[in-house]
Amino acid sequence: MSCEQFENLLPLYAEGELDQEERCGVDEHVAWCGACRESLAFYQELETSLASLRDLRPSPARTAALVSERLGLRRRWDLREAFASLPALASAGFIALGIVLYIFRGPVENFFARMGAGASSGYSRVVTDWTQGAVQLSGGGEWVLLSVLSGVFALVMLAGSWMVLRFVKR
Amino acid sequence: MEAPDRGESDARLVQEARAGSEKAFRRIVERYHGMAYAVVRGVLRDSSDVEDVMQEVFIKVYGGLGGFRGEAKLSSWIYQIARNEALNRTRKPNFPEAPIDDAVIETPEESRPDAQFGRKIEREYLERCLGELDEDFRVVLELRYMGEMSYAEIGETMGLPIGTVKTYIHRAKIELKRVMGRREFADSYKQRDRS
Repeated sequence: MSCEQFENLLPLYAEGELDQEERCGVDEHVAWCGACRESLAFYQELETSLASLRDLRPSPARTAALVSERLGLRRRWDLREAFASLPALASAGFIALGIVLYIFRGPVENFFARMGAGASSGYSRVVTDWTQGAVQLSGGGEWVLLSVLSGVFALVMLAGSWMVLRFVKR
Repeated sequence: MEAPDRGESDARLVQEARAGSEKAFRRIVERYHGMAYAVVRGVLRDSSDVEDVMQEVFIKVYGGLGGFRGEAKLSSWIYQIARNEALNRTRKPNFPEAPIDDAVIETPEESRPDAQFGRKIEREYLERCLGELDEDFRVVLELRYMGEMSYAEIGETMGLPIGTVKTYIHRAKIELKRVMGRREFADSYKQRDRS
């Protein structure tokens, strides 16, 4: 094979696109041919230089963010997702409230008892009835019932949240 | 060569983006950003307009998703948009005639870190030489190396058989060697070896 024919194989050699037999042929040739050896060094250096071009690429995330901003996508969709997560946030809030009320059930019971004392009619009576109910609940085993109901409520809210999120992502 | 992540199918991403999912649209941008950048840069070369045109490309992609019926591959469709946007930019009256050929290459200063600076000169020099190639050769090379695409992906994107892609890349490298000039290149890397 002539140098001209080998010259044609050298870019493929440098890129690793030759099969074993062709590689051996090139290896043997460049072992004694200085001009082809120099050419091969060029193509190997060229591979490295071309590969360094990828360092010039800007971040895809940056382009995506700029495009989203120019299209006005981010704000609208963030609000939709925030809205969709409201049920989950509400259920988390109820669970947290239940835990706090249970931990501080003594002071809560006293507070509602003081609130309800002396009320006789109208709005005060409603408050009295409600607070007396709260006193009864905070006083004993009804906490178990309250916990179960909170758990069911939280599960329903989470299921609703999941369905809304699925709808939003479509 | 690292292929872009194809975890989710293009069709699914298009469907979700069309239905308003910003996340899906972002995935499309991230998946085809390298390819679009290589195309835009292949046409505009080192123009300062590249970043702006890239944004225009993906704005057009977003606007066109509703009409994209999947008859062409998503990559080919985005490739055409990128190429058209870049070509349109070159037709604007204020577009610089020769953005890189006339660029002045800085001379290294002793105070600068040699290795890093040598790399910079090498890349600028390479970019100047790439600018002298035919556009098809330049775009194929940039898709391959800057876009990190396989021969098959380049073929699908540009609508060329793999054999033609390989030939373009092969001929582009031989042409680059001719452009660079053996002596000039040999001098540059011998000088770097000495430093």
